Amino acid sequence: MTTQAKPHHGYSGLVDIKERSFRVHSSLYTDAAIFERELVEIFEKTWVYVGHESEIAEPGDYKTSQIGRYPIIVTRDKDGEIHALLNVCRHRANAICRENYGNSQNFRCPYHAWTYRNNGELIGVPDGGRYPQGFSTRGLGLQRVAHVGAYRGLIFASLSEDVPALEEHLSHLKVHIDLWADRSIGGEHRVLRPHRYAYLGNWKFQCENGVDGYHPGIVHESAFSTFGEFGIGNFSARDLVKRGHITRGFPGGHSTLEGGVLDGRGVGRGLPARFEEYFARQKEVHGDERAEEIISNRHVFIFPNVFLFDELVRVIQPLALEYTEVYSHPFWLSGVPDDLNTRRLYEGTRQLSTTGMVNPSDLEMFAANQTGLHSRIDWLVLDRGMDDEQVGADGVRTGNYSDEVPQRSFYRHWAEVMGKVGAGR
Amino acid sequence: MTRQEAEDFLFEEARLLDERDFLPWLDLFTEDAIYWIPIEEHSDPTRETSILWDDHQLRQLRVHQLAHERNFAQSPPSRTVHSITNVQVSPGDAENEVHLRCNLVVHEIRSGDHRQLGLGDLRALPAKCYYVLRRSDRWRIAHKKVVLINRHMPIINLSFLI
Repeated sequence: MTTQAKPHHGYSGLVDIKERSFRVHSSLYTDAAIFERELVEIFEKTWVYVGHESEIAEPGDYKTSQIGRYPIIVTRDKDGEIHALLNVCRHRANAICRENYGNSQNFRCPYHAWTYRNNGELIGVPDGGRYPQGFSTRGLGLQRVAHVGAYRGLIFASLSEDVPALEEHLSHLKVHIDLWADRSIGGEHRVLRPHRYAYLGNWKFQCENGVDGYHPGIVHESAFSTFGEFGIGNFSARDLVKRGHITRGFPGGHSTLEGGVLDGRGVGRGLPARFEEYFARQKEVHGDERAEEIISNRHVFIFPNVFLFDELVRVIQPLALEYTEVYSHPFWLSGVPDDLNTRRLYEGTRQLSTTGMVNPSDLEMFAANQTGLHSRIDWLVLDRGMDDEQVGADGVRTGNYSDEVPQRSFYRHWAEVMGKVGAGR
Repeated sequence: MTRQEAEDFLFEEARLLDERDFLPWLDLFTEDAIYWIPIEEHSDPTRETSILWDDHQLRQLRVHQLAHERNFAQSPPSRTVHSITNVQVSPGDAENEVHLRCNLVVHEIRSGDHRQLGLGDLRALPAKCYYVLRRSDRWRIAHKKVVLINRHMPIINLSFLI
């Protein structure tokens, strides 16, 4: 029997949490009304990753992005300040900037040439004398995204006024973002221009999959066995569990998948000489224990739309119920030899580009997942590892590497946010 | 190298790829050859993002994985037709090298249960291609660069050989 979503009861009933079972309803992935509400209630009401400071490093640099349904421009003005502005002319609502990246002090609407400075201020209206007496350009600047902030170079913005401070939003996750960012030595990392790919499936599949330690040995068997045969290093999920590697789920829907120290694979495989040198410098800077944590393999998911991986930053852009784009920015360390960065770049391409030996198989799973969900089957199972999931006093949950701790944290938060929707209406 | 000889070479590469005869395809390349699909056409692949950057070992890895029965991105496998036009030959940097430029359109489909998402879509991938060929015992590819016209766009599943 199928169960349809019942928005008038709120959406929280679509995540069914019991002591030893955790089920999510298939309509989360197939109901167009839910997708629209997710854009409004999640993407337009919380901090969303919109770019990296290094993408707009110089005054005048800009990039375009999108939060939910809102096209935005992230700019750096002449004083170096970062702005997140709606990419929407105040006259006739045209998108004024049509490029992905560039450098410009001003943005001129292509329709009637209303012109804005890169801090949003309206500075020019052609033939302005034809407007009625008392018409003022003041107050007609590009609309500002309510909040913009950065942590370790990562820029987040919120369309909603009503959000906690960014650092409070990131909360316990900051420790893991720091470990990730501290792979650079004596300076901040940057990200390179993205490689872009897409898949025919709901956006949440990518959120779940990037912290899913259950699938790699299965979905990526052909890649790992090939790497093994060529002596490039191999692992299976079972080995990782034996070594005590873990998953973590955080309040707020964030999570980590932590693979531990595997020959420095958190930094990049196949770097024996350079790696030893690098590791020794990390120990000098941070001490042995932290250095080991820094070089560990770690996937950090920041709810709702960005992953920090060993070699890249992966940004998830939901565009339609069954169509998602992903932008993959190579993660370039500072204070390390260039060839180490180049090897990391190559490895990211080899594994996780749309030609990669790993990533396309994940995307194939998402399309197959979406296909199966067209059947309107009822409930999907996320029970794995519930018997010994640990819950700390701070609400942080931990489990084995292949447990569904991250996915449960994602949907616990999803239910909290979406549960408010329509309830009591 | 005449244009006709260049075409014969490129058509033979296309035939090997379309017939999934990958071992002789590998053998078309010199040991030090790079096969590159850039995003920025004139970028430095050691410092900027690429869609693909394969050296000798990576080409071998890729072909090895294509033959693996549990390569899910290629299950069912891609069928391709490589069509080559606008071939131009120019002198290379060394006496035993030539530069080729051509246009390429790869048509690709994965059938299987074609009703499922991700299957049954016939796609066209147009590109400009640049080759450096080097002659030893015979002509081989010393460098291959494929500049897709949709290289800045999100592309779904390029787990086949272009």
